[in-house]
Amino acid sequence: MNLPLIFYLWGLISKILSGLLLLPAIVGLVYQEYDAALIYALTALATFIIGLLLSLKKPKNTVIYEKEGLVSVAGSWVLLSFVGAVPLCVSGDIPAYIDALFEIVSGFTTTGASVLADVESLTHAGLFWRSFSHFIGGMGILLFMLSLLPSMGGSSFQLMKAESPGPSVGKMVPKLKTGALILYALYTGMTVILFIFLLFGKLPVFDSMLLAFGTAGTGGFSIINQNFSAYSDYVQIVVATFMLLYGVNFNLYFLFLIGKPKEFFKNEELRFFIIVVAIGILVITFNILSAYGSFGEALKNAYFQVAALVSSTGFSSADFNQWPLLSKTVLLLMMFMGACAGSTGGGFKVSRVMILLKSIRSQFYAFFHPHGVKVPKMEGQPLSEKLMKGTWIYLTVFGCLFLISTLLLSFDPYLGFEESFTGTLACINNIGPGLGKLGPASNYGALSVFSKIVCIFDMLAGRLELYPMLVFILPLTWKGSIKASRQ
Amino acid sequence: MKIVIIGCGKIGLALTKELCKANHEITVIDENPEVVTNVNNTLDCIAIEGNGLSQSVQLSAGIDKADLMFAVTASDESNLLACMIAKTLGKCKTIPRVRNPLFSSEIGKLRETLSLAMVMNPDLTSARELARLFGKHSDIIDIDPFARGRVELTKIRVPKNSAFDGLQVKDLMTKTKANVLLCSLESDGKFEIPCGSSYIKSGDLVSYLATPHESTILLKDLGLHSQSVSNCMIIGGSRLAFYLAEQLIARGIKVKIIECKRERCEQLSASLPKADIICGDGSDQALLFEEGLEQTDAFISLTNLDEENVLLSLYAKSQGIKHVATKVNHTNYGKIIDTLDVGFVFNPQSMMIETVLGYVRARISSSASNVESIIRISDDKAEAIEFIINKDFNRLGVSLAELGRQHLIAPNTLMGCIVRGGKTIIPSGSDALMAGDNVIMVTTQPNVSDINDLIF
Repeated sequence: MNLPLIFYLWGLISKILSGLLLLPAIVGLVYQEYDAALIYALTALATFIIGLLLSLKKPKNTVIYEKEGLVSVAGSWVLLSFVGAVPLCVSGDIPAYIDALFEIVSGFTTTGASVLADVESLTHAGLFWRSFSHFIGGMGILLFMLSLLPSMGGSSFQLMKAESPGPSVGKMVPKLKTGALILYALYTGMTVILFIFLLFGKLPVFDSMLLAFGTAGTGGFSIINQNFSAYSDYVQIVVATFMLLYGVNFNLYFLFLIGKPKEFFKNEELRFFIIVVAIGILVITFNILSAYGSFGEALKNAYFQVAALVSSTGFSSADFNQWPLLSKTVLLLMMFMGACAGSTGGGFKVSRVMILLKSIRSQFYAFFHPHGVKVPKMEGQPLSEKLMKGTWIYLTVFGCLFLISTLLLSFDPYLGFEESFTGTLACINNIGPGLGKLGPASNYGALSVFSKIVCIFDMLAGRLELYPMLVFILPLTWKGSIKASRQ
Repeated sequence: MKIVIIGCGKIGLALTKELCKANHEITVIDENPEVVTNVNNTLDCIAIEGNGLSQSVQLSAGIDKADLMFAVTASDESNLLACMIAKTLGKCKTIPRVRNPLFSSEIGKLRETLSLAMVMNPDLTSARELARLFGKHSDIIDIDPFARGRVELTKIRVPKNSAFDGLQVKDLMTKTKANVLLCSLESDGKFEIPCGSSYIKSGDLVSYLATPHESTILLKDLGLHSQSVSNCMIIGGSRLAFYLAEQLIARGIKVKIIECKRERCEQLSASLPKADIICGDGSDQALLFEEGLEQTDAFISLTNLDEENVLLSLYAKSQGIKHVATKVNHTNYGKIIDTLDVGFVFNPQSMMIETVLGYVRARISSSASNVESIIRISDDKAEAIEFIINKDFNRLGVSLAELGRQHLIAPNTLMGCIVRGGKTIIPSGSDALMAGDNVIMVTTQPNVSDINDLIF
């Protein structure tokens, strides 16, 4: 394994991180939180020095194979998390380092689960850094790097593949750097538009910005202690709509750019997503009708909550813990399915669910026609055996990680079954709130240190689609590499 | 430039790699999903799975906006058809690969009718190259013509105990009457564009520019005479063998081809009546002796297996045959094969790609100059580029000494040669560039497509 190259990449990431850390420092200055600003600036400096040291020597061989890709991405995110937690901890916003780590991991992985009982007591710099981590983590920090730095050859595509969500990652344009730039431009553009919409909703600039960040990355960190119902109906509907928009494959938005809007609507995954979301909203609306006075109220809440959970954002406009069981179950199914591949949303991914369903249909067809040959198709192209098999294996790995995590969480005396089950789901699928004591009205603060570590791993694993983190912690991956590099 | 490449076999892949390096936007079409995945994972371009003859596939690859299209599938007919279809969908220049000798003889007319920009025939290109080197001393590694043959770039290995061993470049000119310009020096794997104080020792690879006449004088002074070759044995009756045999027979050299498939032998015999076609296995030493290996002047291994070619050539060398050439299809083991004594090693794909790259670069020339040809020196460490200077060039009439003094010439760049009005000038500090000159420059700068990349 090309360790010099991996360290070099981590050095580049560190340098980028140091630049990003300057932003909360500036916010601190604006709000006269000089101590906090200083801490962020010093962290930025330290990170930059680490980055310089790691990227001192550019290795001769810059070919990135799949293994290097997975390890680089996982390591980058771990590095990001450990470093990003430091200013939150040192500035006093989140005094316990494990809590700060949990919070920043929840930030970067766009989970949005919080250990904080009182969000509003944070410094402005801290609030900014929390929400900004959603923005960067949403599209990915490696993708950000690929869009900025000169091309390192075609194999850097392995980095994009390891970080991007979805069963298969495709290229929109020939050059990787151009592709990454386009994605980030679309992403930033949409975020700016959302920001402007929120300003129209009479929200202060700071709040609009942070809310836009949280929605863009489908993260879900709130900046007020109350739930979303504290905001106006206009804000709720705008945010709900944008949450769904961010849950759509960004490659489809590119189709609008190159003048092929009809292909946008022909996309199978998008249609499935819209239909499932629509049905979910309707079912829940009628189910909670009795709890809310009017149809409009029920619809608004159902729309917001479904949008929030299916996109894995995790905002809550109501304590859905109190909703009837049918609604809660529908929401749980939404939480499992997640958003479309190639979006900033988390979850299992709509296209994977579709692939599983299509392969089940093939199996049933085989019962009726044992000698029949019917090749399942996806987006007009035949679905390869390799892709179907890969999806089933992904499901199994997901299931194993889920079961082991639930088991580990059950050691925590604070958590009941409802919590360990939904908490694991919320972390792996980067949603945020679970049910019961981890529901939308509560937080993850009372978990044991061990449970928090389990959740941290789950959040990272889920964001990076399982394999990078699992490969990263396997001793087999590192066997021989460390010995070889010593020679 | 936006380039579409249809077919990603050996040549397609090599072409894609080279063009990606030169930073063009490339879309590749191939029917093999594994090839597509591999290209997507390792090269900075898009690969699409599909049939390149389908209009919709070509359109999804962006043929309507492409500048250039290469059709390099395994079938000549498909390549020509793909070019025709591309012409109906867009305004790109089309370049097919056409290997079949049946078409190659009539290719001129086909080019006109189908408005093809260029036709790639790797076998013919290699055959011509081989024929040009034929009979030259084995330490002469390569000769490439510039300015329609008026100037040659010759690459030699400095022989042992030659008069030049241990000399500095500036003293070299005292040892020979030849008027040549040294362009590159490769010593113990290290490459440099030599200056007056560089040392030359035996075993070094040296490239120089000179007229054919001056080159002959230098070679004689070095002891690298041409030897006459009257007969030649070729192992493997491929298309390349056919083209080469044609060229050699035209020069009066007796050709013997050893091919193992009976049917192919009959085809060759019908198309090459003046050659001896032997049906048998080239690795059968008894057969080789039966056909007079001992009296053979030149031996060329052209089978489809690199390993067999290497072994055959090693054997031929061991039998004392001085002129040996070996075809190598896979370039991965290039450095290792270079250490073996197998004579002149060539790769038909590389030879073809050099020509193609020159063409692609010429497409993006600006108004200051036109690129006529590009020859690679020492893999991709340096290039010799021939420009035609246009009226729009902004340093017309400025002397070389002046350009150097004002640091207007790119680093590691040498002005090799100026051809003006039929006369070849090895330039000195007082010479300057005029409109209409053919100028050959040697440089390590990558991706040069215009004279302004080298003279600012």
